Amino acid sequence: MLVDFLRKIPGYVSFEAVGGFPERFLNICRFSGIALWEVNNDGVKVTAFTSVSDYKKIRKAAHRSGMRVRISGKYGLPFFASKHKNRVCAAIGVVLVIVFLMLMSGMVWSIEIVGNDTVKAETLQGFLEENGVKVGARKSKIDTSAIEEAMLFEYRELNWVSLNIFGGKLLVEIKETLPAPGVPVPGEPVNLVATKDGIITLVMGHNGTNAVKAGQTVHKGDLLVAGLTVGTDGVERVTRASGKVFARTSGEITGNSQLKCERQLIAEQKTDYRPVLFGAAVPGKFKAGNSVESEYFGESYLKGGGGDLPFGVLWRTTPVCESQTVTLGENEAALAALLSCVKARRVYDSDLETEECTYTLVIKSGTVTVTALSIGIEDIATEKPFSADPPKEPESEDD
Amino acid sequence: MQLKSLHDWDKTASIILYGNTELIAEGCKSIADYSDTVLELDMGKYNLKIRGASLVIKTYLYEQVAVTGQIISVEYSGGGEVNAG
Repeated sequence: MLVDFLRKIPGYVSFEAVGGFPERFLNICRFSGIALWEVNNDGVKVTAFTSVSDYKKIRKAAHRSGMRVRISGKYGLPFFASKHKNRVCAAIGVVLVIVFLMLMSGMVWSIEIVGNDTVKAETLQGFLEENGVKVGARKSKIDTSAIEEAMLFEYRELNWVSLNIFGGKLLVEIKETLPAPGVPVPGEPVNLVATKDGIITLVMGHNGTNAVKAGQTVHKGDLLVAGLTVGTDGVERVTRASGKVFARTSGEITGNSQLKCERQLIAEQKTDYRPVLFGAAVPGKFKAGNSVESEYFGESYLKGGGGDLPFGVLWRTTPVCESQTVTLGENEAALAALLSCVKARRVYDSDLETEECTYTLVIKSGTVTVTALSIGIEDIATEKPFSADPPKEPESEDD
Repeated sequence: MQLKSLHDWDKTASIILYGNTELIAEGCKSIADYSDTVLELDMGKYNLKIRGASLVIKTYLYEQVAVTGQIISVEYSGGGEVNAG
């Protein structure tokens, strides 16, 4: 296929040769450097293909071997161009398409940044844009080495940068500097105190002096680990207390729902579009919605070459809402209250290892209330600046 | 046994046969006979006669000939030099 394509650029012909001596004709052609292919001798005539330039030399070989040749077919670009020479507009169109493709293929159509963690991709994109690297920039104008050096100089967090252009895609590969292992800084002296009431289950004091032990009841604000250490010389020194103190705690979380309530119902949705061409949105104004509660924005781009092309559409969906007074049944209201309670519990229990949870439902004067009593184990220690005043001691030893 | 010089080895013809449909012969001096059923090649020290059906010379350039078609037999015969001119 490739050979056929390459032959068609300069053009080739098929011909028939009759009479004379076919073998002699073929040998003379070979010695004259005339390339023949698909040679076929059916006993009456010899048919073959040769290039346009070689056919001009073939008459001499035919004359010497006593054969008569005539062209039976013409193929390739010169013959195609000659056939359509009067179609000027089509030719101009083809040339314009080729020029357009050449121009477009010389541009960057998408930029992808990979490997960054601490430095945001938006920051790097901004830096690249300042240095002329953006969607639509000419690839030949981008000095990748200089930009790599500039990026490394600008951002100390970067250890290695590589800009590679694959077709219309610019891939920025980044390796960030690993932070040096830090030496712990003592910092301000602090105590660890309880954030809520509970029964201590485990004390893991890393630094400081433990003020409580397992099984002890503590209240909010009680001292758990004191920021004091006694050295080998017997002298007390203030320090930054650290560690974890786990306690069994309980908490109430409530969720409410009214039997009669107002709700915003979406009557209809309006979507406005703005096309994006060559990375820039076509100027346009999204229509202001009526009774807008929230708007949803989005963008979609054509895909190609493993990334987004700078052609697409921006869209905004605006829901038009209507207020309606709704009367809920008890079960429905209870379910809504339960849902609200569970959502609140999810936040409350985020650091809690729940052991037990009981729900209570109360319906009173048009309000449904679901209360969850959640019991579990959590770390209740929090830092509090060290003070010379003696902190509040736990009230009792055992519970 | 007398060793041939490197020059002689370089001139040795080679024949590659792909199944019974394609044959490539290198070192062909000229075509001695050609029809759609018989193709006889002068390989210098011997002739190579290919019998078959619908024999087509795919390419013929320099000293290389590529033949396609239904090849029935390939024969060697001690022929002399066949001059093209």
